[in-house]
This record gives sequence, C-alpha cells and structure tokens, in this order.
Amino acid sequence: MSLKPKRSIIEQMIARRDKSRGLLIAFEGPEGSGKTTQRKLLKTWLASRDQSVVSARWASSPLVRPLIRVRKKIRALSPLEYSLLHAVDFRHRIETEILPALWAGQTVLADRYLFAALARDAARGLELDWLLQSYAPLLWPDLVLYFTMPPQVSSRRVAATRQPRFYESGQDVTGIDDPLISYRQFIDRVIGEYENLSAIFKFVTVNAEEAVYRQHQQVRTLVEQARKRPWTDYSAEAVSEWLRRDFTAYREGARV
Amino acid sequence: MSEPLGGRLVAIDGAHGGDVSDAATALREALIHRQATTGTSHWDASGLFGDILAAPAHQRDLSPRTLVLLYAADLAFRVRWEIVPALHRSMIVVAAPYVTTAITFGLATGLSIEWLRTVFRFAPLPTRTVILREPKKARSWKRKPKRGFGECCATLLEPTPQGFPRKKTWAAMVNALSAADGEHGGQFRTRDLRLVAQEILTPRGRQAVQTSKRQRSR
Repeated sequence: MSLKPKRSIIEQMIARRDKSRGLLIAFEGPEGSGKTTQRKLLKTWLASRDQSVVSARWASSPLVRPLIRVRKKIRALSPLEYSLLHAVDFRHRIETEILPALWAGQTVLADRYLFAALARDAARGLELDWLLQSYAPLLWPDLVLYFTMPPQVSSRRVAATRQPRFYESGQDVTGIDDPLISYRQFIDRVIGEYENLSAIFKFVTVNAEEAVYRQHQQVRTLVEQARKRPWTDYSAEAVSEWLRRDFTAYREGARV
Repeated sequence: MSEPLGGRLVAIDGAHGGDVSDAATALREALIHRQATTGTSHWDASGLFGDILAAPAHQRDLSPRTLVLLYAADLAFRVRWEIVPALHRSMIVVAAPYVTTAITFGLATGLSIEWLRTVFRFAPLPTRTVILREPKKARSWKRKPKRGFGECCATLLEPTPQGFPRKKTWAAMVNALSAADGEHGGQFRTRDLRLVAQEILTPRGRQAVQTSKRQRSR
C-alpha cells in the first residue's frame, strides 16, 4: 500500500497543466532602465519563433485602473491606500489576464510585476512582511529579469525625457515640491529595496547601462535557458484558488 | 490592529448592510442623547465600491479576495479621513461596518484567517465591537448592492462562471460572526444599543449590559 497522500483533483490538474502552460517572465527595475524596450524586443523575437506571447503591463486592469488614476490625479492616496489599490489591480489581472493566458499555454511578459510594488511600497515605509501577505497567494514568475542601474542614471534618464509624476517621484512621502529632486531621493530608496529583494528572491540581473542590443542578446539567452518553476511547489495556492473560481478553466482542465 | 488613540472607537458588524446602518444611527442617537460627541464612519466612504458598480458589467469579474482587498482600501481611507481624526479629537467614533464584517465574509468565502488578519492589521483596535444578531429565520442578501458590503459582494460575485451560493455564504458568514462574538464579547439586537451607549460612557453601564444579557439568556 502506498504511503503517499492522495492528491486532490485540482492538484492533479495543476501538475498536469504544468507541462503545457506558458512561461511567466517578469521585467523589473527602476524607471528609465529600459524594461519596456527589452520586453517589446523579446516579444517580437518570441513571436517570430511562432510562440504565442502576451504582455501584462503594471496597473492596467480595465476595472481598477480608472479608480487608481482618478485618485492619483487629485493626490488623494496615502501610501497604504496606494499599496492596497495596486494589490487589488494586481489580483484582478492575475485572475483575469495572467493566469488564463498561462493556462492556455501563452508566454506572459510582465512589464513590472509584484516586486515593483514591493520595492516602491517598502520605500514608502510599509513593512515588507505585510506587503508580501497582502499580495498573497503569490504566483511566482519563472524568470525575474532585473535591470540594474545606479539611482543617478535613472534620475538622469527620466529627467531627459519628462517630469516625473507626483507618486512616481515619491512626493507624497518626501514632501519635496520639486519632482526631480524628490525623484532623486525616492529612487535611491526604491533601488535600495530592489537590491534587497534581488538578494532574497535571486533575480537574474541585466546591466541596464549596456547597449540595448547586448542587453537583448543576454535576455534571449536567459529566456532560452529558463526553466519553469513548478506550480505545484511554488504557486499551487494561487492557481487552485483561481481554478475553483473559474469554471471554464476547471472544466477544460478536467478534460486534459 | 493598532491601539486606539484619544477617543473611543465602537465597531458595529453584521451580515446585512441595512441592519448595520440602522444600528449605527441608533447608537449615534443614543450617544448624542447622552451629550457625547460622536462621529460615524460608513462603508464605501471612499466611493471605491460605487465606482466598481458603475463599471460595465462584463469588466466586473471579481473574486472574494479582490473584494476583501478593496474593502481594506476603503477602510484605509475611512481610517485616515474619518476615524483617526475623530479619535484625535477625543470623539466616540461609530464605525459601521468595521473589520469583523470583512473578516467573516472572507472566512465564509474560504479565505484564510491568517491572511485576513494580516491585511487588516493597519486598522485601529476598537474599544468595543458590537455584532448584530441575525434572526433565526434563514435570510440572505437582497439584490441591493448599495445597501452594504455583503449585498454588494453578492451582486458582484453572482455573474461569475459558477455563480455565487448566496444563501450558503450568508449562513457561513452568520456562523463566523457568531464565532467572532466569543472573541470580542457582546452580540446585540438593535434595541440593546442604548445599553451599549451607556456602557461606553459610564463604567456602571457595563454592569447593566451584562445583567440584561444574563436576563435574556434565562
């Protein structure tokens, strides 16, 4: 008689789907680090290899985004409300965009994922432990590409193109009137938090000061070498919660 | 949850939004009658749920966890703009509903108590939590989403692919509220709120409430 505990139907479905599901790749880094450029280049390359790819942009849920945008415009959000509303947006996108795409076998390129929120909210003074809990259950990316650069370079690149917005420059916590000066101070804290997260969660780093083409070559190699983090070990809770709710996926999975 | 500030915070929690609002009004009137300076904080003061309800129906594909997070965002707004400023002015604040409503709804929909408690850790600890008693006759949430959190969630969760087990969730929430009663003490009918007001304002009032509860249980 086997001593192995019997797995539930949902656990079996998750384990079976792990082979055919898509890859989740997160692009992380400070403003001006070239994440979006690299994400677009990778998308084109993967599409040229007949892979089905979707992009998931930060704070882009069609339901929650307008709510955040209006409140940002009138500068009405405290760091706590800012964080919780982004957690709502993130959860909504996980359940309605990211998980359905991964389940269907598409590769998802996330232009900023969970770690952007953790770094920024921790820089605003919120506890990392609480932040991780508010974003739980976590759907772990298979690969986290962290585009590194010093705070001065990020400030310079942002200043060269535009004036940072109120929350982007951290004016809500620095209290500095000049957005650029505030950004310089705030991004220093954000990068500090990113470095801590990078050490804890073992990000793969890409030097954002290198030429775009070289970075792209490195990204290609990293993606080719990337292995899936088994859902059963890392993200079982997030996936099973979504499966229980989303009857369509449940039914399709049951047929597999 | 953090400790309360100068004033006193009274939380009113229950499964039905209408009952919670009525109880808050009754308690507030009882407190004003006793010359107490009071303030109230109601659900959706931030307008987040109102905005969600105004969105096109096909976009409103929300899970219980997302709704609890949204409740937390609304509560963070209420804490910042309504509750904490009133507590600083040493007022008695009636928060209706407060944390227990969201936690028990979360439990009824299968979320873990650890996660729920952690998410609401930011909220000040109430001096008193009043949990409204449900009649023995089985009820459920009406399709009036603006009435309260439970009603709003039931409406928003209904169009999901597998539907929403309204009555079952309601019954599970009522059970969770009864269990929460043990933690905070005091499950009340609306008419008992006069005694709650007395209890909050005077040390003797506490004895009166306990005596009344004992008599009722006999």
